[in-house]
Amino acid sequence: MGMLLCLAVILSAAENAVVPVLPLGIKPGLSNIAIMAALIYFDGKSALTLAAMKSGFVFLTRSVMAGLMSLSGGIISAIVMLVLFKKTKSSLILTSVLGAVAHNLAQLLCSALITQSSYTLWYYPVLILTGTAAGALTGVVLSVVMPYLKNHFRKEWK
Amino acid sequence: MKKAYFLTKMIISVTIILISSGCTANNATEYSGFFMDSYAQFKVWNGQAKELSQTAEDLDALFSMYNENSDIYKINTNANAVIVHDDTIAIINDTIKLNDEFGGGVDITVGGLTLLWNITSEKPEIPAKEEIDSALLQTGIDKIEIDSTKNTVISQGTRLDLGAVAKGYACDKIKKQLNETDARCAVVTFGSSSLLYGEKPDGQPFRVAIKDPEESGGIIGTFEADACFVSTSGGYERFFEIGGVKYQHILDINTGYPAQTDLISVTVICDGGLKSDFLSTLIFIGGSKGLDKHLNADDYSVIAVTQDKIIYISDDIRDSFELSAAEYTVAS
Amino acid sequence: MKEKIEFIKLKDIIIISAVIFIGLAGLLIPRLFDSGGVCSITLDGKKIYSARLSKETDKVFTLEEAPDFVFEIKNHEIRIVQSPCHDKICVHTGFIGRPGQAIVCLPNKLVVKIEADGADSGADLIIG
Repeated sequence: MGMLLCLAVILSAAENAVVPVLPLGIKPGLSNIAIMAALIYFDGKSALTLAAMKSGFVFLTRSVMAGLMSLSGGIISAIVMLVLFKKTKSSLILTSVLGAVAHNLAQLLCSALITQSSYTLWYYPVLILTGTAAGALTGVVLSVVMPYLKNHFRKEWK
Repeated sequence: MKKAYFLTKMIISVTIILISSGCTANNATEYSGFFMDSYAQFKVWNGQAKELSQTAEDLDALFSMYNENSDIYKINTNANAVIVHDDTIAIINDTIKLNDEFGGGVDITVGGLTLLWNITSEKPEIPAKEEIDSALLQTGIDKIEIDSTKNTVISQGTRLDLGAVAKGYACDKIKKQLNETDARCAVVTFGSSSLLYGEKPDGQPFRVAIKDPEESGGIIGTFEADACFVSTSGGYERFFEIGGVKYQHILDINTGYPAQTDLISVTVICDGGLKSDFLSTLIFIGGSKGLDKHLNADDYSVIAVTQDKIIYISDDIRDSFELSAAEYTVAS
Repeated sequence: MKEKIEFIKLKDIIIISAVIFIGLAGLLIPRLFDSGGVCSITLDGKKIYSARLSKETDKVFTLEEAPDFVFEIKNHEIRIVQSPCHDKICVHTGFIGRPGQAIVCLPNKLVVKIEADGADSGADLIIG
């Protein structure tokens, strides 16, 4: 699990290094890969803990607001993915897409609350679309690395 | 072995985080108010709009020729050397440089004439020719002496009026201010000079609409631009009418009268605020006959409208220009 | 623990398509509406009037807080008909109706502004 935390944190950091190049709102959401892996190979509780710890990192290393945003997005999206994956046995892609969209919308809501301004809420369409794309991307990436992860985790459990 | 692996990754990831940057919030703040003799609007994503207005307020306090505590007022009313702020030295020097580069045309020593015409006063009148001529004698940038080491300026009988360049300079300074912050995007406008900063949250270019100076409330057309400075010159709102003739507020330093030009609106887009403000005034005064070399310029773009309602546009923004008013035509 | 995890199912494609559709619709539909935003009048920063232009009928009116001004709404646009200022720049401005436009009376610190209605409401900047 510790490895997954590192993974989540590295992915989120690497992502933030790339973000300035992309238009705002287009976030690959790579850290979601780690959260989904936690869901698949461990359980919902681990996934939620992972999301919380990642946000903790963000809070400690960047700012309160960044941490809050990460927390809202991460937790909500982890919950959504948990329900989809465990309860309704949804597929990989659907989980990652809806998880990414939920992540974006939750962050949007959080930022609107922080700034006490409903103006920002109007960006929801863009975030829905970028979330879909990001979710598809992370889902595909995860499916590609899954065989390797499976081997690693089988070793860890023993 | 596992613990070492874990630790290494932790250290590496923390290092990466410390190096990384970027913010994911998507909030915009807005602020508007009266600055530099115009209604200014500030909008910034990931930043405080009100802070930007502080820069405008500070510069206004330095540059306004009507404010007794401003650097400019002190220069204008003192025969001796006046110690001024860095910004004042900078704006004068930069304007002189631009005048040299473009062969004159925007004279900031026009203060005496401006006061004479007093277009915004209660009862504007056309000044007598003798008064205009004597005011003209007082103009001339050679009458300004600057000492950059001591930060002093001496005006030998001439009066400075930074109206043609102050807002552009303010936009430059605000851009520098924004560079120091996390702001991803901002739109700042003083009406005749504006700053488009960064990139919009939706990734689209900025859409800019040009008001129609003749048809109140109407728009001539819109164009698209990425981050840049935009300035417009034209009779627009500041003018007075006597005997059916419109006297607009941009004075021609050669004649002492409001510039006689067949252009009703000039918009300049480029990478410098002061430069765009300067150029829009210069091109406006120059009339349509001087347009060619400006339309072909490499480092700035122009949209100029003649009183015959013909619009001349530089090639590089021509494609994104959309006409909104039927009475105007775009020149080919 | 060999769990077969599905990559993608047919119903997922339908659901995702619906999500994309909602996103696109949210993006494109506001662009269709370009007129009749909310108009507000502020005096020295304080809001003294607010109305949705698209719902207003043509009328001429004054406001208690700004007794020397006369406003007119016509065809979902608004203008200042009379003002106590000397240069009457605000009166010269005439009618405004699009979000982002404003009429300003500097000496009296009165501003008539049309607010943006949604994420995309025309121009980001109006100059001139």
